[in-house]
Amino acid sequence: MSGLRFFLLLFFIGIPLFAVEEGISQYYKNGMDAYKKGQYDLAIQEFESILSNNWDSPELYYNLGNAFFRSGNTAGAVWAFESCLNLSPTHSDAKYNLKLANLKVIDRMGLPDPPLYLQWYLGLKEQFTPTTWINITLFILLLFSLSVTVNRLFIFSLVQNLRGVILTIFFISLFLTFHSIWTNKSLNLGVIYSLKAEVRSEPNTFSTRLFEVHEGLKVSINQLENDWVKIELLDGKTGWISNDQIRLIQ
Amino acid sequence: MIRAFIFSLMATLIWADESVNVTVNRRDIIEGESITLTVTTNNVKSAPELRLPEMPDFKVVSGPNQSSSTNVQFINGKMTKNSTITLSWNLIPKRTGQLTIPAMKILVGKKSYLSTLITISVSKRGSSQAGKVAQFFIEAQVDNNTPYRGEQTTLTYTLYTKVDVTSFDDDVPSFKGFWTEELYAPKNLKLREERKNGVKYYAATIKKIALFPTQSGEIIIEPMSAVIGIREKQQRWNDFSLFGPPSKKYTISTGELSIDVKPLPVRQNGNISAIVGNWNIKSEVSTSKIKQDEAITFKIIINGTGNLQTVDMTEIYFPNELEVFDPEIESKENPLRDKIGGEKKFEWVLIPRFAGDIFIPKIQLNYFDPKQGKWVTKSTSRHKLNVAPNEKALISSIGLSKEEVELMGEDIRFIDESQPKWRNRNRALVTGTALTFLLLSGMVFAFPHAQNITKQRMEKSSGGWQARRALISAFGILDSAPDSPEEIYTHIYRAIISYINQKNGTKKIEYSTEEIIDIIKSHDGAEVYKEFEQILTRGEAVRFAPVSSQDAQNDVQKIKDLLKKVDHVWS
Repeated sequence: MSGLRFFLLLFFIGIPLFAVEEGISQYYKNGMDAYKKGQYDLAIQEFESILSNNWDSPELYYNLGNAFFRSGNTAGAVWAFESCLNLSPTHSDAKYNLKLANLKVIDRMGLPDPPLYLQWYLGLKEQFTPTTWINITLFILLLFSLSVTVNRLFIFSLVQNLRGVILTIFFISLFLTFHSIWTNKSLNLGVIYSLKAEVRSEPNTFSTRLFEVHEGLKVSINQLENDWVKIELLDGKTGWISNDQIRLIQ
Repeated sequence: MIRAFIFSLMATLIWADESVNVTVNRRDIIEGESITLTVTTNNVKSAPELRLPEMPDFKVVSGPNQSSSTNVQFINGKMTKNSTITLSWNLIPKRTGQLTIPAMKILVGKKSYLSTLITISVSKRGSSQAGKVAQFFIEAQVDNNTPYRGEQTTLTYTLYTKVDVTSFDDDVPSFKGFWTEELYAPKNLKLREERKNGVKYYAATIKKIALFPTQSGEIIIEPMSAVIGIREKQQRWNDFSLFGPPSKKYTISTGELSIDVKPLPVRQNGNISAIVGNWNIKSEVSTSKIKQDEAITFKIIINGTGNLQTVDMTEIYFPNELEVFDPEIESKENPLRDKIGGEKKFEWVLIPRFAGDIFIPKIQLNYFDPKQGKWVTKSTSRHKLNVAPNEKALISSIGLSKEEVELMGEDIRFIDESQPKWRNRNRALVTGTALTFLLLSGMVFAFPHAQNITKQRMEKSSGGWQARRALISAFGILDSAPDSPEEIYTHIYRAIISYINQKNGTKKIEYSTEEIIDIIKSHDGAEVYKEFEQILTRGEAVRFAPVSSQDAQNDVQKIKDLLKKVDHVWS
């Protein structure tokens, strides 16, 4: 009897989930169809409906970015491709399209290349999302525990040697995981979403106008204050802009 | 002596006990000397109100200085009170001759008083008319009365004295129409002997100022006034002061100076500037062979004499291929000089944004040389920059990298038509997969431990079962014994060993009688071990001392009883 109850419970929980996924898939299909017909605004509307229902995927952001790009919304395209890469850092098409979208951004700034070892390290870290890093680290932990167990039961010198290697990889992976989580939690990024935004010294319209930024510029978000956001540019300049002039990268 | 010259002029009305007097301390002075104009009121009820009239011939050096006093006297039992208020000004004549202090209106309460004119005779210094020699005076001189606009003229103030000077406090005018720089201002006066108008004086340079006229035409330098302290001669042999000999202060002044500034002449080619003097110009680049986007410094150094402040090189036009940053300017004036001048360095950071040969053109300096009385143009040499291309750097003027330039004209990649794997946007960082890995790791780690524990438990439970089976097993061996007494005792021995092994969980094949007895003893077999020993001894001896089958069977029964007893206490 209790088994039957359990299956009934699973069924009633599962049905709405399937229904939600069904609805999202419909939005997605509509969006894809609209895109193929060249109705980019409609495609954007359909894709955004999925986001407003709190569902996403790298493919959704990528296709949304394409729709934004085709409709001439550079800021939207940069935001969507950046969001896609946030979920799937190795998405090569998103990387390529982001470069093309960035060509249309007015404010161009870059930092000098970091040293080679740092490039390698950052490249490795950004290969995966924090969630993937957690999975990788725990998988290595599983391998390590397997090697320890096998070694206890059957003493193989090969396994003994392998155990040290696995432990080293585990600690490297653990470090990368923590760094990735820390970066993800502490560094909020956003894209300037209005054509031109005046950056001010204080979070109000009476304060000094410091400089201007234009649509599509990627900035770090340091602080939120009512309807104002404190942004920091790559070159270290900081200031406040109105909340509605920026969109947070997911 | 000076007091002897002081006299009062009763120049105003006297009204009953109330009176208002306007006086001067001297009426006959030498140029540069000052007079004191005093307004004294006696027994008035309120303070006098007056405004000095316009005095074009005099400069007011100080004032009004106000003082008041009250004097009470008893004469023949009658009290007389006398109060005085005094206002005074120090005036310096601006020219020589008969000068007039105009009449002035003085208001005291509701009453109004009008003074008369006062005439002062100012004679030229050293003139025979004066009939006397000035004891001290100051003089202003310029080295060039007709400079060009922007050309330096040096103004020198000198003090001449025949008496001891205890203090000197000057008041320099504002020098309207000039840019000035102080050249010399000693803290202590350095006296030298000098003849002036045929009279020997001690002279000291008070101040030297470089004046650069900022406009052409006549410019008046206002007189400089100074308060000078003069040591007085001792009046009596026993005059003594803790603060040294007494001194008296006098206000003196220089005369007015007029400078006729010549305008700078017109230049035919129109290349003029505000720079006047004698200047040299040179330029330097840090390196002429550089890579694109690498910074170099370009310096212009100008040195010479003249007003360094007017030297400016900031409006220079560099080629468009160069990114130019604001210059750093460094000025270094010549110390210990009478002619102002020095060196001015302009340093720019330039970044060539294009590869190839870039030329920094000649930089011209146009200035007016007052000595030659003409405009001069000097220029730096031209610099050629050999700029090598930089592959890594930005290669277009709009700031695109090489990779970005290659992307220009490309189109975005097509949409991704694969079925997305939907994820909740509020998903947790740690997924089910991660938890599974963690759980599996824990399980794998724990497996050997769990196995050991299970084995131990198994063995423990197996041992207990064997122990419980020990008696039955031993009885089984005993029951299977054949009739031969030797065989029976062999089975008894085997049954005991089997019993001990199963009870202890051991697999020993052979025990000595002593060992068996010790084991029995150790398991509360104190009462029965002797019987065990007897039976086992009989068994050992059965080959040599035959025993009947019946006795052997009895021993089997006995050993069964004994084992039961032992098993009862052997837990």
